[in-house]
Amino acid sequence: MDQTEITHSEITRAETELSVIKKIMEDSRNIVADNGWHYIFWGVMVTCGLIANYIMALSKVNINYQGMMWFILMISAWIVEGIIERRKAKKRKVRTFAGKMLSSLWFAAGISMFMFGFVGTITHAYNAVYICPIISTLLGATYIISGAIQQVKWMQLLSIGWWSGAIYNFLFPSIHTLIIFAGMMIFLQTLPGIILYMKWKKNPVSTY
Amino acid sequence: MDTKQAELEITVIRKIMEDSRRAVYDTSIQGMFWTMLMAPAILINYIMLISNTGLQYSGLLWMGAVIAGITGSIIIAYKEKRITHVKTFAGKILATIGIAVGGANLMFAFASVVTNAFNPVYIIPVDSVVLGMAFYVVGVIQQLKSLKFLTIIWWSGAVFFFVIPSFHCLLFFAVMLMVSVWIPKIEEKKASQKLLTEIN
Repeated sequence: MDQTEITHSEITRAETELSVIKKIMEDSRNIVADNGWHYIFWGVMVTCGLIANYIMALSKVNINYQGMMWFILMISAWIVEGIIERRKAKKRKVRTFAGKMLSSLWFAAGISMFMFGFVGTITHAYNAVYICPIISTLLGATYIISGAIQQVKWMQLLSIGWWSGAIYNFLFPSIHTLIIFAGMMIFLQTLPGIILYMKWKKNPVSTY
Repeated sequence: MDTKQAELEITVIRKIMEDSRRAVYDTSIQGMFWTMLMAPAILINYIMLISNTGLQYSGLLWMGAVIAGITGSIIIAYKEKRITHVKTFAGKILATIGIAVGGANLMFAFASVVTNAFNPVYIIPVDSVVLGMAFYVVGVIQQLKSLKFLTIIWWSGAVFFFVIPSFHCLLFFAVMLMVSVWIPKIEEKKASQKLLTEIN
């Protein structure tokens, strides 16, 4: 009789624990959900830069000025993002582990892209026309990891687009690589960001 | 929420975190295996280059290394699947990082060798940039300071070999691969022992 009572109590405890775990997981998932503003912000910034670079290249503007344009644009965007993030951090009550992973990933990816964009070309390791496919390759890897952290499968699938575009631009390098990359930025970064934002708007839970 | 329920929730959260952390410590077998296979292969290739001997076999060397790597990886994955029943969130992310970095590095090799986008001497610095990124994120997941320190070395090495390209980058890459596995492993073991002592 006692044995049965213990079993019942154990089952009840296990059920409670499971419901608690489920709740924690759901809460955590809600907090992790990114509202997509980073994707929109960087998508728009880089697309503008690419279009400007394309026009500069067509107008045969000196390559040093093109590099300077990117340097100023990227540094300014980073400063603006830093200010916005600082303000958001003040309001933020909790920071999840997944949120920490996500910001670390994009921080490291940003440094890597900066190195590919500036160090690689300054040292003449490769022609400037290959910057876009090299960064596409890196973005493909970053999206796989980002999708896994955010637990969004379709985001991981975007890496197929990034890598396919990279292969195409590696095989057929030309001035038009810039405009192809701008298209990839819109369809594989800005639009997914807008989708994430719209989802967040419908269910405005806290972000990481 | 009553006190009893709150206490229960805290206990469960703590247990999940401890289980997760312990499970993460055991998920680096694949990485260890690939490193212990690739580092000697890179070193052999480096010796071939500096002594100018057996260079005609370097293709065979890499083919053998990749086939052995894939076969070994499948065997390890099969064994892990039989032993490990629970997959943690952090463990899944670590596996994804491995796949993503592997894919990117394969793409860079393709870009250099097939499309001639850049000289093969730059494959190592390009790969080092990606590995630096990966080690930074892994450092955050495993909460190991040594990995963040290694990120700086990976990136510094990449810059160095972008500026002064040479085949000695192979030696850098092989040594860094081994260091990147063993130093965190030592830190990991110390942290794991400390954690287990705390739990017990």
